[in-house]
Amino acid sequence: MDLVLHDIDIAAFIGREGHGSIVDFGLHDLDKLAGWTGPIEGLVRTRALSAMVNTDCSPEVISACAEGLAVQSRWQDLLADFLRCAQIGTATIEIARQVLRRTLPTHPLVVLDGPPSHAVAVYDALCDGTELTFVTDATSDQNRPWIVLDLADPVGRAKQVSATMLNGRITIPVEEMDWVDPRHVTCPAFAAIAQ
Amino acid sequence: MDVSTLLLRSGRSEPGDYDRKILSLRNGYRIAKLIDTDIDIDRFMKNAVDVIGRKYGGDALDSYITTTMSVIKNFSQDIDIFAASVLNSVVLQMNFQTRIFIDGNQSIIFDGDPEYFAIAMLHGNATQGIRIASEAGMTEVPVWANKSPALEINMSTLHVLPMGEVTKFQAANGTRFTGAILIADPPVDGGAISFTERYAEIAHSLGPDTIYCLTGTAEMVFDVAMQVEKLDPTVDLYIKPYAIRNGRALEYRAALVFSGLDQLPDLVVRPGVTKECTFDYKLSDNGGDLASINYGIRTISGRNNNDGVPDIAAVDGMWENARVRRPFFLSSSAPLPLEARERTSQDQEILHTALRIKDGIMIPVEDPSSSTFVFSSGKGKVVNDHGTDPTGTPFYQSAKVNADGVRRAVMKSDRLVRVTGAAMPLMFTPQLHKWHSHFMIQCLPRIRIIRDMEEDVAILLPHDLRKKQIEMLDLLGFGEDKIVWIQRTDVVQADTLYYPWPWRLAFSEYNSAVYDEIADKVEAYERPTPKRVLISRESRKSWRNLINYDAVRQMLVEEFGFEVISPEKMTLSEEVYTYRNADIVVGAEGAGMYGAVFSRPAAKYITICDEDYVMPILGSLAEVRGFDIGYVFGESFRADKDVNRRLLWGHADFAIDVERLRKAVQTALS
Repeated sequence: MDLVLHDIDIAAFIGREGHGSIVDFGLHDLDKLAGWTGPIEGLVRTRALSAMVNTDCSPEVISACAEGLAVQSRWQDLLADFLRCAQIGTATIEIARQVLRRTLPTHPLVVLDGPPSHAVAVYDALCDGTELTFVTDATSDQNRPWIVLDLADPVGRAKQVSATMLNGRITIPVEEMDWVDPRHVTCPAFAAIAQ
Repeated sequence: MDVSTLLLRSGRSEPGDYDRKILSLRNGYRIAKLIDTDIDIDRFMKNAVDVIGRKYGGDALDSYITTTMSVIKNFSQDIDIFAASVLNSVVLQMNFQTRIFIDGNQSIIFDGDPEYFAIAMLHGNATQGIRIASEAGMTEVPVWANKSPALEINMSTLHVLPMGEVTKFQAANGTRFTGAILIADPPVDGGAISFTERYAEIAHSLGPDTIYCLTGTAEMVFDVAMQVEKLDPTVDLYIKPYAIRNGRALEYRAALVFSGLDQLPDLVVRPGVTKECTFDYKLSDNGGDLASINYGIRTISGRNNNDGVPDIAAVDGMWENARVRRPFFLSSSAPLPLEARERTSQDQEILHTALRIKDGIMIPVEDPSSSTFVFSSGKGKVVNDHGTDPTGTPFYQSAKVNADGVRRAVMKSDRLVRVTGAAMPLMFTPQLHKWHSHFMIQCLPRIRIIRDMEEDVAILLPHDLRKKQIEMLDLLGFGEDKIVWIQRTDVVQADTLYYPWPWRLAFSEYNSAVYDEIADKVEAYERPTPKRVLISRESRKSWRNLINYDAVRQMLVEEFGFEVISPEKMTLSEEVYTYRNADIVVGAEGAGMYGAVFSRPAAKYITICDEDYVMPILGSLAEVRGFDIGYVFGESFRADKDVNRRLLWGHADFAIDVERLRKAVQTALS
C-alpha cells in the first residue's frame, strides 16, 4: 500500500492544484486589516512583519520590519530573538543589517553596503581546532568578504573574516572568532554572510 | 525550537522540501487508508493540499505536521491546518516542559471551537487538557485517534468541564500550574471573553511561564495582541497573519502566542469581526463612493427612471414593463379579492438599477421577522436610501443614538470575506436561494447584470446552492473562477460592491433570456418525454400543500393520460427537454411550473392555486414564452377573519375542485 506514493510527483501536484488555500499576507493586507482594527503599530506590527518576511521579502517589508525593530528600546533582545526564530536567509540578514546600521554603525555587518548576496545558517561544520569548515551552496563569492554572526548574540559576536572556498566548502580560522568553541560548532547555528 | 519557529518560518513548500514531504505523506496515506479503506491516493492528496503546498516551521516540525495533518484533514475538512498546527505545537511545548515529578500535571485550558480540542492535544499526554463548556461532558474520540503512533492521544487526559469546576478538578489531580490557555475560533454568539472574569478562578495557577494562544479571525487576534502590548510592552509576543483563499476572496486569519505575564492579564477577546456602524449615509450626499448604476442601456427595452415614484426618483435606472398574459381559462371555488384578480392580468414594472459602493461592506441581517442584507461603506456608514431599508432590521433597532444625534450599532460576525476587485451578490437576502422559484426569477438571471456592466465582477453565492443551480451557473459561464462562496452569516467586503435593486416577482424579457442560453448549451436528452405533464406535489411537506392531490392526479392520469413528473429529481437536461416537449402542463404555482422557462409557444399551462395565492409570475412568463395560461383556484384552509396570522399572498394548504380542473383541461385540449 505504501508503495503507491513512490512515484508521486509533488512538483506536478502543486503545479496542478496550487499551494492550497492558505495564502501569505502582504503589506496591503495589513493595511486593509487596519481598516477594522485601527492602526497596527509598535511591537505587534513589527512581530507581524517579522512573521511575513519568510514569504514576502520585498524591500518594503524588510525596511518596515527593520525600522520596527530598531525603534524598540529592547531592540537587541528582539533582534536576537528574530534571528533565532526566523529562517536565515538574505532577507533576514538584510533586516539585521538595517537595524544595526541605525543602532550600531560600527558593527561588522554594516560594512555591507546593501543586501548580502548569500546568507546561511550553519548547522553542520567540522573543526580541527584551528579551522572551521562547512558547506554552502554559494559558488561565486570566493573573493568577497565573509561575516560570521553568532545568532544568539548578533550584536556582540560578529566578525568579518577571511575565508577560503573550494567546491562550496568554506574554511575559516577559528582564532578570529574567540566565541566559537571548537568542540561545539554545530547547533545553535551561526550565520555566514557574504557580500 | 518552539512554536515561534512555526510562526516565523512557515511558507510555501519549495522543491527542497519535496523529498521530506513524500516520506511523511507516505506514512500519512498508510494511516488514512487504515481508517478508511475507500480513500484513494488522489482524494488523500487533494484533501491534504494545504499540508503539501506549505512548509510548517523547520524541517523536522514540517515532517511531523505533514504526516499528522494530512491524515486529520481527510477527516476534518473544515479545519484551518495552520491554526491546528499552532495549537498543537503549544501543547507539545507544554508537554515537554511539564515536570510531572516536581510540579504535577500541568493544565491546558481550551476555549472555543471543540473541533480543535483533540487535535491540539495530540501527543500532549503529560498534560491535562480541559475544554471549558457550559456543562461537564466527554470528548468524542476522533476517528484518527491512536490509529498510529504518529497520532497518539491519551483520551483520559481530555476533559470537558464548566469553568466553575476547574479548580476542584486541578486540585483532585495534583495540578498546581496552568501551562497554557488556548482559545480557538470562539463563536460570536458566545459573546466577548473577558479574561479577568472567565479565568478568575484559575488566576492563582497562572504565571510568567503560562503560554497564551489565540487563533481565529485576524481582526480578533490583532485586537487582543494590541491589548497585550499596551498591558506590558516587554511581553514575549509572536503573531502570524495569513489568509484562507475562498475562490476570488480572502478570509484574514492570525495566530497569536504570548507569555511572560506575571498574572492573569486584563484582556477582552471579541470573537469574529466587529465594526461600529452608523446610519443615515445617503446616496444623494456621497457622490463617487456611492452611485446608482444604470446597467441595461443596450439590453433592456424600457424607459428611464425619471418620473412616477418620488422616493426613488433620484435613482438612475430603467423601468422594464413585464406584461402578463390574459388567461384562456379562469375558475375559482372561492371569491377572489379584487387585487388578486388584478394580479392575473395587470402588467408589472421592474426597476433595473444597482447600487455601487467603493470599498463596500455587505452585512446579512436576520431574525425571525427579517432577512436581508444591509450595505455600508468600509468605514461602517450604512446606506439607507437605496435598495433595502435598514430601519426595519434588528441591526438598526439595536442602535443607540449618541449625544450628537448619530445612531450607532455594532456589527458582529464570525467571518469577514474580502474580495479584491468587484463583487455582487446573486441573492438579495441571505437565504433566498432556498426557494428555487425565487432563485429562478430573481437570482440566477442577475448574472446578466454582470455581463451588462462589462466588468470583471465576482459573484457572491451561498455555500449551499443545489447541484442543479450550480450546473446552470456553469453553463452560463460562471464557474469557480468567478465565484466566492459565502456562509449565511458572512460579512463581505469588496473594493467595489454592487447591489442590484431587488426585482419584483415577475418574468420579463430581461430576466428570462438566460434560460434560452441554458437550453441551448445543456446536453441533449435522448429519451422520450411526456406530452401531458402533471407536476407532482408528493414531496411537498411544508406549506401550500394540495391536500386532495390524489384525486387530482387520478383524474388527470386516468381520464387524460397525464404523466406525473418531479422536476427536483430530474437532471437539468431531462428537465429542459421535458418542458420543451410538453403540450400541456398542470401544476401548482411554484418552481415546478416555472420550468416553463424552457417551454415552447404552443403549450398550455394550467396553474392550480389556493384562493390567496394569486401571482402574476406564470402569466408574465406566458407572455415572454408565448404559451397559454389558465387558472383554477381552490379553497384554502385558514381563518377568514384572522388576517394577522395569514401569510402575505397565501401559502395556506388548499383543495382544488376536481371538476373545475377537468373543465380547464378540456378547454385547453379542445
